[in-house]
Amino acid sequence: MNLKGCNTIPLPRLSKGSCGLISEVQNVDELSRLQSMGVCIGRRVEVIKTGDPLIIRVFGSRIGLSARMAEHVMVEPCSRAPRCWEAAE
Amino acid sequence: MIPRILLAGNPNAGKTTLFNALTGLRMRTGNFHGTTVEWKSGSLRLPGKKNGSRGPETDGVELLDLPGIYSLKAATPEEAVAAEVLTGRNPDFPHAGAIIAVVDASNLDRNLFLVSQLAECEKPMILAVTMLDVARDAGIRIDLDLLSERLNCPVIPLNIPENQGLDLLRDQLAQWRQKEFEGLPLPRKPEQAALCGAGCSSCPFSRRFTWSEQLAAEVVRKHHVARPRSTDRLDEILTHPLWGVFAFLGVMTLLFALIFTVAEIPMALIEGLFARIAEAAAGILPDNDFGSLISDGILTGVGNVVVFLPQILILFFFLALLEDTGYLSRAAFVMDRLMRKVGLPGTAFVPMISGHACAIPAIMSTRVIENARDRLATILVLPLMSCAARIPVYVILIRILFPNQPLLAALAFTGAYALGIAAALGSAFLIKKTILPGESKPLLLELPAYKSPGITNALLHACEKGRTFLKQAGTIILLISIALWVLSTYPKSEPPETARELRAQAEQAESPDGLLGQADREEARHALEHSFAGHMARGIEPLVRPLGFDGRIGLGILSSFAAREVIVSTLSIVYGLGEEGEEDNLLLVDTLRQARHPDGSPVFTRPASWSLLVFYILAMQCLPTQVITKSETGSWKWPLLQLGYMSTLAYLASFVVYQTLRLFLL
Repeated sequence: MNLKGCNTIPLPRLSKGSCGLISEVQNVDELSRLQSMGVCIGRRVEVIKTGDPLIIRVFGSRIGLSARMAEHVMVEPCSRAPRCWEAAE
Repeated sequence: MIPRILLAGNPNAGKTTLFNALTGLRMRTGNFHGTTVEWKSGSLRLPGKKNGSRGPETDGVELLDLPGIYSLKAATPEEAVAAEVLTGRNPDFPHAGAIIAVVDASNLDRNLFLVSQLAECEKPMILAVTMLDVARDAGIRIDLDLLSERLNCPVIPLNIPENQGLDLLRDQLAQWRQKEFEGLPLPRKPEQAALCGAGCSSCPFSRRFTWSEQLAAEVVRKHHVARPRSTDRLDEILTHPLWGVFAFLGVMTLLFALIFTVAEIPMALIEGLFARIAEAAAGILPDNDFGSLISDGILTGVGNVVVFLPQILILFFFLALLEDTGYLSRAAFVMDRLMRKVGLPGTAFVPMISGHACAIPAIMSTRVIENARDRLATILVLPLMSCAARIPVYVILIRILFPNQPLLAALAFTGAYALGIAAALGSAFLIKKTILPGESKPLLLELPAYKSPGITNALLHACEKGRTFLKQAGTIILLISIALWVLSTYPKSEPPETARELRAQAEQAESPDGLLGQADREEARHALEHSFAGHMARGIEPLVRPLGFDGRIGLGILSSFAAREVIVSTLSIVYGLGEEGEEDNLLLVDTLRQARHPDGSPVFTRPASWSLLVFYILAMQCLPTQVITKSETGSWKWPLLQLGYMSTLAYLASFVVYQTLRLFLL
């Protein structure tokens, strides 16, 4: 997916309490486990706790994950602008 | 053939609670072939036919509890096995009549993801919806009829503590059972187009999530209610990098103290009971080898098995309670960063703490560690933690070292524990660097909402663990106990000259009891020293001499090979106290301090005592642990490695300690 020009950042860069839309999950160890828990393109995540490991909310559940893993999750911080990942599709 | 019903669902969706409510104690557990993934299977009685008179057996079904999973993508061994069973490819569980999909109402959109995959298994399905009360509190109402219509399968709301929905579920199954699970409507699958639209996006999960999100949006009526923040607020503290660790240490200390003190009572009772049974048996049984085999071999062996039960039951009961509250995943979360430093995940910490009570339940509790390599490394180092059985040995040796210095004695005790922990962490680090290389899996776990725990679930879990232990380890421990009895009883030897003289004196004496007792003790010492074990001890004497030990200590080490605390009673026998020394600690300590080599020099010098202490901190010396290691790892290779590296470590450390201290102290 071409995301040039998109304002995407790695998940750990989101601040506490803010949310983001997942635009890409890069190939990482445990990729499909991460995705099946809901950390997958197009999902909304909210950061509950920053640091390493960090806690995010996806759907109704809290998920704790290491920052190393979270680095591979690219998100677009929530805003009113059109969703970047949708535009790219 | 009894029809089989598969129970599937996300972790923490309430699957185990449902399984327990339906089957209770009528269940078995085991591992899926070739894996360490556990299955639970129970029989479920269904209401019989209204107009027929069928017995309950014919109306029963088997309920198979699959591991909690998020998807059928086979990303983990659990998912792989579950997918295998659901598609009928598992050799142990080839056929299934229907699926019960357990769904958490408070997190419907994510749970429906798995449901969509289950629907593709072409089996009749019932949707069992749990946590409706939690959902209601969060302002979520679900149109269950609409959900049922959309998925084309029965949807049953459950509230297990209130006993709601279970009968509906049983009735539904009974109806299907009457039709032999044939010709039933199949659940509606998501349209192919919905899952794989224009050219299939790179993420196969994404569209399926969109599908489940859309379905959830259709059936959920959300009212605006302030989201209960209690879990988040608790997490502020419990997952805090600093306070979280303190909270965890507090919880674990409490748990540890409980196992330690509470288990003590039933353990003492069991030991007393078996001692009394053995004594009573000795009174009835003939005073020959057969009688001795029954009372000293078999009864002692059974006692050696049963005595582990209190610790196993208590540990697993409290761990299950803690897990049910949702706290255990927080514990793994906060300890993760610290444990990574030695190459282990945070989940390894709870077993490591539990290992200080007893390595056996600790090894059984390593199943929480997901990665097989991490789990194996943890199992291998767990016996280095100073377990409760080491305490009697520590007490004796530290009393010899510091007879009237309580402060130094306490320090030595703490040091013994610290050495065990350091050795375990160090070994884990080395094992992960050498024989089990590879980085441990990065942390990824769900933190479920806190809730009050279910006592019944915890009780059933503890019973199940106790049963597993008896089944897997009971027979082998019993056989080993008998083998050790043979080694320390045969070959028989003539009573020694000294004992005969004492008996002769006793015949003339007015109060012969003391002399007879002395004769008994002499005979016991002589018999042990001339048994196979005694001969073996003389054989290894040159080996233990560089550690500062004589042949009698060697015999103590050999005889405590299966259970380290046995060295106390062996030392008591070989130093002529009979079994009295075991009960009277101070008498034994005194005797050992007086013990002399044939040349008149003391046996328990300070270097030798330190050396023996270090040996007992590090040596394996516990066969039941090894049996459990075998049954948890599936191969004798690992317990042998455990024995090998721990014995080597203990030997080398004792050698260094003795040879170094010998230069400085005497």
